[in-house]
Amino acid sequence: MLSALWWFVFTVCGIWGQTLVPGVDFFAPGMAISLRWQRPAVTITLALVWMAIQEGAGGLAFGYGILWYATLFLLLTVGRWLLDPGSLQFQALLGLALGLAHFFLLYLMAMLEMRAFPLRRVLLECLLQTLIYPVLWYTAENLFPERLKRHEEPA
Amino acid sequence: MNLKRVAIFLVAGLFIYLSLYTWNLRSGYLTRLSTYSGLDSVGMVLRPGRWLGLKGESFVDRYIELVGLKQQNDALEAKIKALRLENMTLRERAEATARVEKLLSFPEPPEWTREGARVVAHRVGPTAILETILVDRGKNSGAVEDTPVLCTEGVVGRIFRAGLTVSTVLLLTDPSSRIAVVGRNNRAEGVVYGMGSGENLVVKYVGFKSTLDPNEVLVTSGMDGVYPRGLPVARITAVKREEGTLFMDVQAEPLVDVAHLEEVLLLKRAAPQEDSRALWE
Repeated sequence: MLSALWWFVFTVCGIWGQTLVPGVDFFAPGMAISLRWQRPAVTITLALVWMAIQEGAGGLAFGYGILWYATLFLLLTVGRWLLDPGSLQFQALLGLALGLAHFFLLYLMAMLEMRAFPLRRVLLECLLQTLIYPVLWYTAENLFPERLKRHEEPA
Repeated sequence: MNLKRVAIFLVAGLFIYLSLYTWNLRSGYLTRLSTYSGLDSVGMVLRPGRWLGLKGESFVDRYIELVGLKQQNDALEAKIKALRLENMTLRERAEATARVEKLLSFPEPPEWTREGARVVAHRVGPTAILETILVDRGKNSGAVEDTPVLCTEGVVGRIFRAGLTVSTVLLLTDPSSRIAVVGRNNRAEGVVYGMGSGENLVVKYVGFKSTLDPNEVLVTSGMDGVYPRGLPVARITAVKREEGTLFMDVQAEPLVDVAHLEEVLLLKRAAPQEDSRALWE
């Protein structure tokens, strides 16, 4: 119950965040936290809900969300083998990787749909994603209730 | 997990993704599903906040900003008188035009109904690559894709995606926006293209021998089958004629300040759209 409430509030705050800073994914830090502390089923459910929100509110045909969250999942899984997922340095590096991934994925999807690509605006969004991600992760990680943390981390 | 397994997993994943993407481009099923679920849930989250914001603003307007209300009232009354006079003259002209059209057996223009809508957000999320706004009207209130959207200054755009209670409006400044227009004074035809946020609009396919005055207002021609005729769209800012081309190089500025929109009007067709070919058969 507490878990559902926490993720509901997180999602509502994320939607408001994305409205105030367009072009930035505010749910990505939630994925990192969920993957670290929650059961895989919770992460999959959250990813599906967030994907529907991103795709529904966005301007592209369905497809970006799958690639975006798959990239995030891959980066988090590979990164956990090499670095400590609880360190801010790792999350800052992840933010940088997400900034780059946002650029390439958006460019790919825009080209597939033959849409104009606003280069300067997307570059600014990538920079914002890089900077905002570690700050959001740090805030959410510290606010995440201790009761919800599963301490037996999967390998 | 060995490397071979990972490679097979990645290739299979990519194959499934591409199949899903191609199938969705043809059918639009997943896009519609995410519109009805994601877009409407975004609207549900944003609407209470916007409502609270508006209530707060109106409280400030009503109780604090009372200074200068009398002068503003006088100015508005004078403006109403001037508008009434103008309205009277225009009504006479409109009635005369309707009589002439009837005499010449022109087909009746389709009926349009207006409905107000509130802007709940501008671009939302990382995939918001298009210049859009979100409005609090959807299919439940009769708003469908390609419904024209305007405000008191002129055309804002058209509905790009309609959820059940929320819709995404493609603004006229977006590079994928096209509006068929005609000059209000000289009736030169063209197509207005958006060039992105904060950029001027470009008017293409204006014949080399056409006449366009500086500052002339462009209104919808109705030739695109989306907008009714006569809605103001943009004002000409620059006209260039270059030798060796068939068309003029024309730039225009939108009449609407899209960055500060709060309320808009949706123009809905009362009758189903008539097949334009039927006029020729």
